[in-house]
Amino acid sequence: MDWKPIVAVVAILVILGGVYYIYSGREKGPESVRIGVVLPLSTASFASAGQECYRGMQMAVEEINANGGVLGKPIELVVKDDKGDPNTAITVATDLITNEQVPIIVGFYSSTVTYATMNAIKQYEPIVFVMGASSVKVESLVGNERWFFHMHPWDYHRQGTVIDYFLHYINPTPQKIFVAYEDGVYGSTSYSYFVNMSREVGAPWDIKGEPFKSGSSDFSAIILKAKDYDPDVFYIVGYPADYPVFFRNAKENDFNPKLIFIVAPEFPEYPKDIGDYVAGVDVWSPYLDIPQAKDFVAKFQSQYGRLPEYWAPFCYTAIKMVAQGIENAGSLDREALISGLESVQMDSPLGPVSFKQTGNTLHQVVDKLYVVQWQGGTVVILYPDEFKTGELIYPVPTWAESGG
Amino acid sequence: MNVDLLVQAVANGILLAGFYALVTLGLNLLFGVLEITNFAHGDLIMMGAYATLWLNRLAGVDPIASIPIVFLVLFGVGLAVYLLFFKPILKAPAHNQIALTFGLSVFLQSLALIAWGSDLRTLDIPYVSKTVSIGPVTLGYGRLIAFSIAAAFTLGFFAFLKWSKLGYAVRAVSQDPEAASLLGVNVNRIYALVSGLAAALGGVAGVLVAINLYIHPYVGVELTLKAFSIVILGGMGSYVGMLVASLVLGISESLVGAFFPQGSGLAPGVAFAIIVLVLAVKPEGLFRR
Amino acid sequence: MAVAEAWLEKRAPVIWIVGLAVALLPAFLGPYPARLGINALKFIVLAISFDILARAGQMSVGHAAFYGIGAYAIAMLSVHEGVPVEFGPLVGGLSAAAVAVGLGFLTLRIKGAYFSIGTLAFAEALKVIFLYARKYTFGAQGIGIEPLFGGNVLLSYAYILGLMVASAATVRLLEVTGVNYALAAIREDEDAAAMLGIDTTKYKVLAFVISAFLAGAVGGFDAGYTTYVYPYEVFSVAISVAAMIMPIFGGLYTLSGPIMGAVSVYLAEEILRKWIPQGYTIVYGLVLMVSILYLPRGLRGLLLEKVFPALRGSEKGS
Repeated sequence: MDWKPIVAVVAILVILGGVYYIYSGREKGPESVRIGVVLPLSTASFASAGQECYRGMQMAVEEINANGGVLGKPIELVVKDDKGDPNTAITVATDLITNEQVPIIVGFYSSTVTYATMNAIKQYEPIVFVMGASSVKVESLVGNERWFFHMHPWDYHRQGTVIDYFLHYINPTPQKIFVAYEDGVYGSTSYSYFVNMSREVGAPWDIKGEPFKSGSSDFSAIILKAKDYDPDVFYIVGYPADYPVFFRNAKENDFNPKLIFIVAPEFPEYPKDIGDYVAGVDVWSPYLDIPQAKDFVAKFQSQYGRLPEYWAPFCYTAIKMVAQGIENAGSLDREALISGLESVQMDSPLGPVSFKQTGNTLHQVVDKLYVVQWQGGTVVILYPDEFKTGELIYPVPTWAESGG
Repeated sequence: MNVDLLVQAVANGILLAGFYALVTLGLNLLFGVLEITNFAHGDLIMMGAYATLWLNRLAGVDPIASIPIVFLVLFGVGLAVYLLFFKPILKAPAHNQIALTFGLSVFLQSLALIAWGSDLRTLDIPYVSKTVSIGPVTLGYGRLIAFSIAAAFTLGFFAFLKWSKLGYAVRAVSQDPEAASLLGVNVNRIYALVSGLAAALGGVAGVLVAINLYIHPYVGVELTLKAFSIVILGGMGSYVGMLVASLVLGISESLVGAFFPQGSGLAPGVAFAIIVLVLAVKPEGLFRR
Repeated sequence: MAVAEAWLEKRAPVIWIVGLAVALLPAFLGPYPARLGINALKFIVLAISFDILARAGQMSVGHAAFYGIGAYAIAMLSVHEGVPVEFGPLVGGLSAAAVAVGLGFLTLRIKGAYFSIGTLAFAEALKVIFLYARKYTFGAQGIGIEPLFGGNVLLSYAYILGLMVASAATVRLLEVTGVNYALAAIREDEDAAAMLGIDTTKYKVLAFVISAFLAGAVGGFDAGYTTYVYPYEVFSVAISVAAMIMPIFGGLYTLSGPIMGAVSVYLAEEILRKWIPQGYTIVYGLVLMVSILYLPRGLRGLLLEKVFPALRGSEKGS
């Protein structure tokens, strides 16, 4: 019997397996502090946020290493792309925990992916610092775990800010609000929060909600419905792709609510002309008058030629916090690291940051948001009061008035 | 029921239909002559959109002015696609063609992702958001422009088919390639021409996408599906069917969006509903070619 | 190639044993390799599922539809009725198969490109339906369910391995009972097959149902494995694309083709992702196109027609 073909096939398999094993993580230097990173870097829908976050991380790593690193060693990011897919995220997270054995994983963007991953890896109780995930589903799953650290505000923080602003800072208080929300997790959960919290605080307004598919080419239908409803505020919960289309359709159909309000109105390709007078809620603004923020923005701008989106300072701050946590701990030992992180307190582009307990989360960083408005091609910060740089224009000029 | 709303919705739907017709034209043409169902059609449109973007950003070319350039560039792309991919599979079984064009689609999307990243881009064109009011109806310039350009190219294409010598040859080949070649028509060249033309028309649709929508590697995916629904409803290869089906799709999308509860989310689903219904009831479509 | 196939046939038992050993290996190398193995096994079943339908001449570009139905079936039953997550593959498979029965009859007259477009539209339509049937599916919020076997990786591994073996056995069964021949005849020329007396309806629907069952079973497994079911995820084009590329690359209408295709494409993806973080999917497109143009019988064909004789030729001189 001739064994050659069998030997050949087995040999190929062994070689492939070996190559893979060799490549799969032996690039580490023994003299570095390795931090695991899981981000969506390649799926079109999430990649721009993931990439922006990664840019922030890289900036932080450069600065830290230029100043001697952590515990005397340079930081090295072990980066894994999760493709925005829960399965992949679970697999690479397992890799980082059991194979690469990093002391902490930083990253995670979408609520869906975060939920699935946390569910799968909680058996290992790894230290994770989640950058994204606003859905409370994640909070109820792992919020009060000692190993879970969270940067991004939860949906109730965001909607809480929005409602607070509508109630107390818009004069007269809106009586009718039309909410257009994207029909994914993000939009749907935001909408239910908005409705429920409005009810809880006894807000005086009526709400009409309508889902849309993010990325659609035309929102005239929803604009027409909104126009029919004649709301005071037209509130859109969507992605950057959607807003320019909404604005254009609103103009075309001569839809003039007293205010258009969106989530995250500061992104690189914001349509400044047609998007003037639009207000929104954001977790950060490059226009904030915080020294670290200004420095960060200047540095980012010189490196990338544009203003950063909030993911950059988020992840930049996260790495800095982790570095300080490690310094506090004096080692990479798990228990020490958790305590080290808990005692982190520093200034950052986000303002002063530390891990606080809010709601059902033990270790939460950001819990307040800003309300801003585009005025004359630049952003004016309206809320909270200590960061205010201008006044809300309400009601905004109609399309005809603003020189349509 | 709000009549003004109805009229506006129908008006929007008609303008949308014009755009959809142009989107579908290339797909229909390719199928009519080469009998290839091109799953990558929307991605050719996407390339047209990117071409428009870069011409505008790097050379300051106004999108409408860039149409002839984009037309030529995409014509070239279409020729290349024919030589590299379509020609070898002209006689291959259907599923090979499907897999191939599907692979091409994935390839083009990934190429765009690697080359230009996943950032979403928009063209900031002042005149696009101007509007004109006719009675109870407000029409956006961007949409009107899209409709006019689409109509111009569609009619121009029909004229080409009907009255030019080359168009005559194309029609001959689509009816019966063997007979045509016996008559002295270089079938291979016609196929190449048609592939180029189909891509070029897609490119023009891409210009419209860049003007009215946004530019992104995946922007073509939904357009491919909508084109399919139009082609299936109208009957593959039939141009009259294509026009009728475009109207059906455009107007029903607009109406569903305006009047159904949660319609704005359901509107994109109209295309799928059409496909599923037509295939279940009358697979040849309304106007069999 | 016939020589190669004959040679392999004779040694089938050895190959099966070696194959199983190789398949089991990752489970013992640690949780991360085990997860990789699980993913590879999932893709194998999905690839086999696609291939079975392809044998009937129907190329499904929307295979995610059945996968998604399977995932949602167990998710909804688990959350609303308390059915244990471990029943996922069974529940998922049966639900998908049930839908396929209806769909199979509906699509009898539809062939070629129309069928493919139809499957694509079907998958997209399901996405919209499950998104808006909030009462049962919780719409976009998705459904979070208990982890399979409480998150135990080894048990999950064994489960999916079993599923893979079952699907391979199914294919062998089709071949042994002659169903495969009927399908091949239909694939070549449906009208001729009908004239030969083959009940094309029965076989087409059968292929559809079996294919759907397997895809739904994978979906049902995955629901418990990833613990979260969500319309944009489970009905995604990515799944349909994977289901398509793997068997085509490996070699359609065979058993080893989908297996080889699934493993090689998945491994290639894992490796490539390190080197080309964004847009490595370009490889999928290239693999698919290259396979169609230059590898008509896939990787399997390449190995059997070119590599095998080359390895043997030196000894026996074919």
